[in-house]
Amino acid sequence: MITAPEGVASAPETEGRSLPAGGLSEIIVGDERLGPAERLAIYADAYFYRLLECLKDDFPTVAGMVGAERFHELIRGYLAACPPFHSSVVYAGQFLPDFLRGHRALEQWPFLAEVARLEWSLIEVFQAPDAVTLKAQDLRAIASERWPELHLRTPPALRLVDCRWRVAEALRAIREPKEWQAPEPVAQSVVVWRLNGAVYYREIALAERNAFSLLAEGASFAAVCERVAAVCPEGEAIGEINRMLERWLGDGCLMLEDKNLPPQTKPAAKRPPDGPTT
Amino acid sequence: MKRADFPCLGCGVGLRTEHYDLVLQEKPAVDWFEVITENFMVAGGRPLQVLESVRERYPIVLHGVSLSIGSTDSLNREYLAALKKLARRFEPAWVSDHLCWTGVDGRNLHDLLPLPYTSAVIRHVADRVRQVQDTLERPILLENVSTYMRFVESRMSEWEFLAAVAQQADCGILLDINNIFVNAFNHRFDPARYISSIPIERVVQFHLAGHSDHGAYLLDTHDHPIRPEVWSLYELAVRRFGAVSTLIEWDDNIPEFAVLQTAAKEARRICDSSAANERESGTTDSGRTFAKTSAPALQSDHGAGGRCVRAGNRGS
Ligand SMILES: [Fe+2]
Repeated sequence: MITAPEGVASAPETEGRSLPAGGLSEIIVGDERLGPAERLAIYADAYFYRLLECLKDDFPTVAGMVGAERFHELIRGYLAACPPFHSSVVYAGQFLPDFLRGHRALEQWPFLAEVARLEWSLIEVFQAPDAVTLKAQDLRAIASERWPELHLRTPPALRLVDCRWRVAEALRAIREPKEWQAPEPVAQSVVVWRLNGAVYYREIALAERNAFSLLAEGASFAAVCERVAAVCPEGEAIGEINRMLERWLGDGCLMLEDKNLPPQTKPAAKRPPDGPTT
Repeated sequence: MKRADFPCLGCGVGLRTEHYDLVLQEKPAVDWFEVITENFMVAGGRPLQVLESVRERYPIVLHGVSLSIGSTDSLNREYLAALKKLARRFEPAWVSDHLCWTGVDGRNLHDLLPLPYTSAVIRHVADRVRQVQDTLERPILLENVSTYMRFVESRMSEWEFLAAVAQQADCGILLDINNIFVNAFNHRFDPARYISSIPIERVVQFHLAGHSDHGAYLLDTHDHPIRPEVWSLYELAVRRFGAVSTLIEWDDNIPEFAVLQTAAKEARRICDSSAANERESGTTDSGRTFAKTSAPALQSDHGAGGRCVRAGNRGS
């Protein structure tokens, strides 16, 4: 029943619940300073504004594009349609990209759902499972004749986001923050990844996009090379693959499939005692 | 539950994302950290790495906001399993949450909502706390929350309700001194009476925080320094309960870490001087003083943070 500010008086009716004859004062104690509805409104406001702030933090580009007033309105609609169910507020914005997909705000900002999707990918990558990524020295330790059959994949903290609008530039501009331009309706692929706990994103060309798409499912190195070569000009494939490989290894964008992995051991953490008991 | 089973941690501060880099790099002198449990119920990434490193150096407490112990929904078993896993991994000194409900019909309101103070609710909550303690295989603490409304149905005071839940559930109490002050204003009662009515042996931790004044009511915002009146109430609490592990909470307009450290030091000074007064006057206190703990050495170097830092859930 508490769904948005200013909604306390009408909420019981919209929810189809009837209040006792005496209204809210039969449920909530009021006094001369604050009546029952005003007291309930403190909670209604807190509910809405807490989530609004959280979503503003998680979707700064969406918020920046539409402005404070429209964002308020958008989130009001979003929370009515998709109230939080998860025990952590971290997931409050999970359905915002889908919610925006059919929203009339797209008439003015047709790229808005894609922006939201890219911003949600940053959050997903931020909290995705940890994984042991492949380092350049690990690869060097493997005989190069074996590379073609090596099974590789992208780690859980990596997303490939295909967009119909060039949204990454606007995302970068608003997050800096600086003046942003409306994204052009030109297809763009963005890779989002995590390195040492920090999240990064960059626009990628078709060859790299195709490679990541294959690596998301797991693939042999030979298959990745073939996929890249298919869209590279004659004679440039090897150089292109080398450049990509170097970057992926440095950024932690690759891992060896389990079947290749030697067992990993982690030293136990040293911890101090928790102080004396009394 | 025996109070003596819980370690005496001293005076700590809430660990917030804004201070991650400083805490990791400078290893500041702080007795302990409290963290918001739900912010670490994630699959991986920086928060868990940070907590690993912090835990290597400091005692921690897991403070939850979504147990929803008073709700009529059945206990969230998935949540409890995640909490148990987290507690096993990080070995907190204890686990706490709030005496409230946070949602119904599966929805989470991400707020700490008040309960009607009746014997039926006491039985309901106590029964659920026992289930939680059995599942986690450890006692928990419940915190008194700040409230802006009371139910007509209530048949007792908030302090009677809190004490009865703790006794029937056999759990500990995390007494938030600021919340008592806020509620005393919002619902017009004597905060000293509240303090004097809570059973000493149940109180394992204190919270101290700042609130904001909205004229007709006080709002528990955790975005201000602790008010002098709240410090006075804390002194009163320390006289009754002894030196109880104390935590400085700050969730919005988060200041420099040094401001939190200063508040923690002030809490410690109050505990130490209360113990000294009692020794002088020869009265027997509640048996609790802080042992002298050696603080980790200060180091200085500062680095840049990551690109994506989340604030996440807030405590109360
Ligand atoms: Fe608190």
